Amino acid sequence: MDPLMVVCPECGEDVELPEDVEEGEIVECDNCGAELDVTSLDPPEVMLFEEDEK
Amino acid sequence: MSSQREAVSAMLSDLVDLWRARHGTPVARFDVTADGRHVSGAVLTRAQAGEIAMRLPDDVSLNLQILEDRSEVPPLGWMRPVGALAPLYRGADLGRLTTEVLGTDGAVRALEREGGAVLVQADDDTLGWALATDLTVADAGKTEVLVDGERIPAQTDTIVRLWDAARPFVEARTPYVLGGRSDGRADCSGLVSLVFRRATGAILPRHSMDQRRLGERASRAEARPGDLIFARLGDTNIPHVGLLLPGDRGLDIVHASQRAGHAVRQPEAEFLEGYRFMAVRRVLGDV
Repeated sequence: MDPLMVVCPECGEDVELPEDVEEGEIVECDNCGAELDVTSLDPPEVMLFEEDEK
Repeated sequence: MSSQREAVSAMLSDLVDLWRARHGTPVARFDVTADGRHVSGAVLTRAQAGEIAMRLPDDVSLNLQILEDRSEVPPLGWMRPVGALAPLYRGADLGRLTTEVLGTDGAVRALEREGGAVLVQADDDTLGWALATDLTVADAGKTEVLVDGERIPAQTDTIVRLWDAARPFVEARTPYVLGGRSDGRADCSGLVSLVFRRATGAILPRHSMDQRRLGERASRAEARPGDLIFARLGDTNIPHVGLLLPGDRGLDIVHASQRAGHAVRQPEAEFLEGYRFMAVRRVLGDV
């Protein structure tokens, strides 16, 4: 299976998502440490995770 | 049915007959795909899994749960004798005595139930069937789980200590209060940080999204007791954290619940009705 590749919206580097990642999971950009919200798996898409106030 | 499936099923059936002759009641469940190219299921011992692997053709893949594997949550949880002792027998017919488990030995892993008998794994790895009424459920957090550094994985001890630390919050239904981190009130990350501090001495970050950066990622399928699970509250992006512990079936989560308004222990599936999964982090490493 091809690796799930996305571009980090923070630093622009390519990020390979874990092959068993789930939609809605939060992963980190290996390059800049940004928290990425996996919004879609097909095609793979991420956006920066923005925390709501409690 | 394909001829390959027939051949694989017959081989498995012969093996089960062999194990029955050798060990009494065998514990094995198999599912063979229609094309005979994949076998899944559960066996009791690593040796049995090895026997199957040796006999299978190279083009058949194998995915077996090994019930005696101590690194896994016991399939039926932890149990202990009701009284001073529980005799263990070779088979589910409870005919031939194998050993005895004492009440002071601590909890045993419960692997399988058949009729009125339960197959357990004692702390020295002896396997035997007990009369179900001789046993009672030992909470995953029972302090009587025997801690013997050589024979019981440290993970068991750590999980016991985590539950010992978390249990007072659950039993007292400690109120959820944002910013709380004490016996009288706690928010989600406050509860987790207090429990880890008391159980392991570890000092965790105070806030949930900082805790999410700890340790290593694990997938939901890989999650195990001692891991932290992160989720969002309902449809929001409000992060939440809980501690995974062994449940009756699968995993339980101990957390300070905004929804319930207090600390709770609940099955993962129930937890995910109110929270959306976000991440699992393994913060304890190879404990």
